[in-house]
Amino acid sequence: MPRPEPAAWRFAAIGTAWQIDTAEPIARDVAAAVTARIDDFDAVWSRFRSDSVVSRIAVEGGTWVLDPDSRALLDLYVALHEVTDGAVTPLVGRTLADLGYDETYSLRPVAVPAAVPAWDSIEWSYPSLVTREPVLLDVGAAGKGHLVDLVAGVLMSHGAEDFTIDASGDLLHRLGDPLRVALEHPGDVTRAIGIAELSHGQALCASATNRRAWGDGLHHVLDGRTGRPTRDIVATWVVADSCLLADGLATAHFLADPARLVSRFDHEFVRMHADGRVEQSPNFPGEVFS
Amino acid sequence: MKLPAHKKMLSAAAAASVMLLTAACGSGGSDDASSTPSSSAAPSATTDDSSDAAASTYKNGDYEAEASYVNPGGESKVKVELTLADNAISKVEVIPEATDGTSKSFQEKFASGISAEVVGKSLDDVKVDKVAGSSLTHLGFDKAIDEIKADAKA
Repeated sequence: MPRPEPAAWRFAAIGTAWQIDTAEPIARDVAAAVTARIDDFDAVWSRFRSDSVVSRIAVEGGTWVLDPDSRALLDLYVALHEVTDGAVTPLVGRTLADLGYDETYSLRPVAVPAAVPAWDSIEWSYPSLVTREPVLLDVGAAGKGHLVDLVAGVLMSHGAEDFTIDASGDLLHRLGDPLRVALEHPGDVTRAIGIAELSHGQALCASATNRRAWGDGLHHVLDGRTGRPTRDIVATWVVADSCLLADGLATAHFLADPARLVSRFDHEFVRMHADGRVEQSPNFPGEVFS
Repeated sequence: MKLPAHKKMLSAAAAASVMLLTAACGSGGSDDASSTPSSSAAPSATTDDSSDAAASTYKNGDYEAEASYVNPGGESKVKVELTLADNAISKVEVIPEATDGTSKSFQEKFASGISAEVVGKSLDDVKVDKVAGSSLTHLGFDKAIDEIKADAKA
């Protein structure tokens, strides 16, 4: 049964392609509110903008009072840091930049990349983030998913209840029938290793290291304990009830024991090892082609 | 518990289930490197050696066996139940028996756990609304990669 063609609003923001599908075209003022919300997020969290809050935190230590929307994001980081024994941390920013993933996308690593700062160099207790030294925060593990949730909140506050937001790998589905999403093979973009079927309200986040890689073993998923890119897992997919959680866990599944993640957070996952083996949680909505 | 006797077969089945758990267990980050299951299958079936001679023929019936493996939380057990009909397994079930929280959760979650290398299907052959994966990358990143490639050619 063909899906009714929804209205699709495509735009670029925070350096990535977005598409919001709705039954009816999004009103101009609602679109403006969405754009403004994304800009606000970028102004706080972008480490690629010299005027962002993150860029200020990178220059001097201090006590930073963050907005209410930051709460869920940093709370999740604290939880992920704990359950992954430090593998997931927002403190990898300087190391990522030194490895070449910097504001100009130099993609050229420095000779001696900075170590990941100790966890106690920051302290988070909403709304205050205390930094005891300059630290370059990177919320790449969960920030985009959180922003999708925030954009969903903007849409709903304007009366738009039914929509699907696709921020290039971070999906929130709230429109019509279940959405079938191919799980792209990390080694061959013409193939799918499986399909996720998202019901209304579910989020799916995908993460893979192969294409956003720029050198020998260099990519954007760092292990906070070693400061080096992870190697064993090459792609992850997580389905959860919020895009924030799905995004954060998609990163965590590169770095941690799935059993600990599954027992701590309500979600389903698929992850692929470098040798092509695929693990999945038994109730993953969809199928893996084995 | 009185069971038909096919110890070899039960051992093999139980061992297979342990392998499954091993694969899932040993594949995580370095933090779970110590969770290597190391036990052998220990079928609890009683033995009736009379029928073992004819290895190629098995009595129809329900069989069960237990296997244990060692993890950081202690020893965990799984029970394997299978049904034989006409020398073939017609039904097999793996039942987690772990008691400590972590292992129990682990076994429940991974009873259907891990598959061998997945080749996948051509996207042309699957009917989907969207694709999620690595081709969806950062616009600036893709541009930078293109520039570097261009530099490399210059």
